[in-house]
Amino acid sequence: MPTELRGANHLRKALKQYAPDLAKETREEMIGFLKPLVKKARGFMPSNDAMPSGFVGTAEDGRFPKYDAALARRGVGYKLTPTKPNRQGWISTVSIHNKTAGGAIYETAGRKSGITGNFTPRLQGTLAGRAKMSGRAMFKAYEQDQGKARAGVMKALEKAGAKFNARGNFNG
Amino acid sequence: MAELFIPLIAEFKGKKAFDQANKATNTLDKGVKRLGATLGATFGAQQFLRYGKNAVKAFAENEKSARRLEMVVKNLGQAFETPFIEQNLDRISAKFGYQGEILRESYQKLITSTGSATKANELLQLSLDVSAGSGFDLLTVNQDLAAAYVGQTRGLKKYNLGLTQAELKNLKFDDAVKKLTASFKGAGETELTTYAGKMRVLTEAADNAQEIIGGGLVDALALLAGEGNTVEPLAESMSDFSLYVSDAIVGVAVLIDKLKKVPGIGTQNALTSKSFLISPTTSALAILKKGLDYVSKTGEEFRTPGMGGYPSSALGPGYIDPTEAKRNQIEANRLKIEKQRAALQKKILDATKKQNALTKASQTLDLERIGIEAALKGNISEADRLSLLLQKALLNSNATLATQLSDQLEATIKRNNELRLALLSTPKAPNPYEDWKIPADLLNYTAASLGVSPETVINAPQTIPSQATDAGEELRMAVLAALDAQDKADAAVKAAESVSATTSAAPINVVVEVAGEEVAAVITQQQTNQSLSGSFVNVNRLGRFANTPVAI
Repeated sequence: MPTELRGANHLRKALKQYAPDLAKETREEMIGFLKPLVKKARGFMPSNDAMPSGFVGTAEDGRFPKYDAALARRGVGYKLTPTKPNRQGWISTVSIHNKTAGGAIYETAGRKSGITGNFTPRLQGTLAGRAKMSGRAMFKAYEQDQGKARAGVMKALEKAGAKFNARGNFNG
Repeated sequence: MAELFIPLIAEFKGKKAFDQANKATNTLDKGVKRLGATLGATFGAQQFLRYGKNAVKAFAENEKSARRLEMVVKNLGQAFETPFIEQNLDRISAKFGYQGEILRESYQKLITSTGSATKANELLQLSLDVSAGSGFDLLTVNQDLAAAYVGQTRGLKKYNLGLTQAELKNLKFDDAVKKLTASFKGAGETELTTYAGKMRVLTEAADNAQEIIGGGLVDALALLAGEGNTVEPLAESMSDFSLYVSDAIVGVAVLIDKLKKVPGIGTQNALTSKSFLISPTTSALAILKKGLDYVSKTGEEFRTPGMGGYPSSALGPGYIDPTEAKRNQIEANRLKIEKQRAALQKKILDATKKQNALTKASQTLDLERIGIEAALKGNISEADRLSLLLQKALLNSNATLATQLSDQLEATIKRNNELRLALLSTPKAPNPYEDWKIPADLLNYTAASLGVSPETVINAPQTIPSQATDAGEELRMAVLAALDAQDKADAAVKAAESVSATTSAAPINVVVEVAGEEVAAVITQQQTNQSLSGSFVNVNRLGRFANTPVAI
């Protein structure tokens, strides 16, 4: 589950405007925590050979999405800019994503209906995590990380806030 | 398809629609009301969930202790006693307000020591009184009783039973029980009349209720878990179940709220009023009540499945309960062990007595004491006698006698000193024969017989010839000879010293002569003569044969 860090966006805006060096340092520090997580998630994406043959290929518009290992791996990444507010009014400042349709299908197939039928049992890997936070690649990596990346990012932001305030010029 | 992402850090920015809605007061009011209702439901659900968790925890702890005791009783070969023990402990728990876990642990100590459920029950009953009367907790009291049963009575000291250390050490268990009973009988019952006692009973009743509910929850959730009743689906079901129950509780609250709006429901006869009976809401309530009764009954049947079989009383007077027979057998064994233990204790006591006697006897062989006793038997002075007696008293560690004797000895020494001083200060007694004159004829006769002049007899001592027969004269002669020998010895020493001073570095040659000849030559000659006369002489002084020429 995400952790609410109030004022994180304002802080990052302020850093960018008044302390670009600190903004850069914070960004690099956060990336340091996110990169291993993304790398691990990409590692859970299977090769094309390991997938059902009908599912592999290049997706065509209006057809069921297909899986391309290279694209799917590239589709897993991190984001350090805030998203638009969702319907409940939440924005995410720091997130990791699995963008491609094929990768998302591999990630979540069988999460709701179970590993049944003709497709999901043929997918490699197992679902890790609970309920809506379960998956085969990104969610699995996040589950195995046990919140270390999240804690690291939070710490980096808090540290940046403290440093920013310590500079004194910006406290009024 | 929506993009999959995990927000690591998020921030609430508020909803646009919510902001718009807040502009209209009515909408806001409705929103707040809805929020209140949601919070209430959430709060109720959380409370319920917390209580449920605690209840399950309490039930788990209770069950754990019950299983432990059951295992111990089973290992002691008295598994058949388990239901009776549990029944007894429940009764005590309900009456005295002790936690089931504490009672079981206490009971476990007792039954492990005694090996008998009957005896353990008796002692547990006693421990309730002792604990209430002495203020020590039940576990400590039971630990002491269990230890006392096997002869370790040291723990009973804290109950101040009016016994010395030695008495406590040799206290028999039955006597200890009598003492404890006499001191604390009825204390447990009396404590129940106090505020603290009542509070304890009420607290335990609430805890018991929680444990029962916890047990019910575990059963219910296990049922919801479905086949296999494994923990994982159970854990998942727990969340759904709690939500379901919380919804039900909110539903009941809504129902009650509606009930309040029924005309006349606030009055005392509301439940019997016609409007109540014919109201659709109250009719629904009655149906709900019936439903709840049915559910409760079903749950009860699930919890306590039928025991089956017949009670022993229904089997006729000739029927012998096998449990009772087993119990009697165990009790007989316990008594047997108790007797053996008593015999062993007696044996140990006898051995200690013998050891003490031996120690006492060994004192008689004490050489120091023997020496004192022997000296006391001799003809000794008063001061010596007192000194010996004082030494003896000190050896026996008899302080009183030693003090007395010391005083006496001091007085005796003081008296002796006074006597000595008195004797020293006494003037010299005059010689009664001082003025006597020796008759002239006697003097002449003596001088003539000794062969000396009369003046010599008077003025100087003379050596008495050896033919003198008088004993006094012989003594005198011996004394004079000794004095002479002393003088000679002194002279010899002086001479030796002078010789030594003059010839300190020169060797000293000593020549022993017999009748003017050297002793070796004399011996050789003698041996040669003996050999010639037929006597066998094989070797001489120098290891030669007798006929070998001697060169000295």
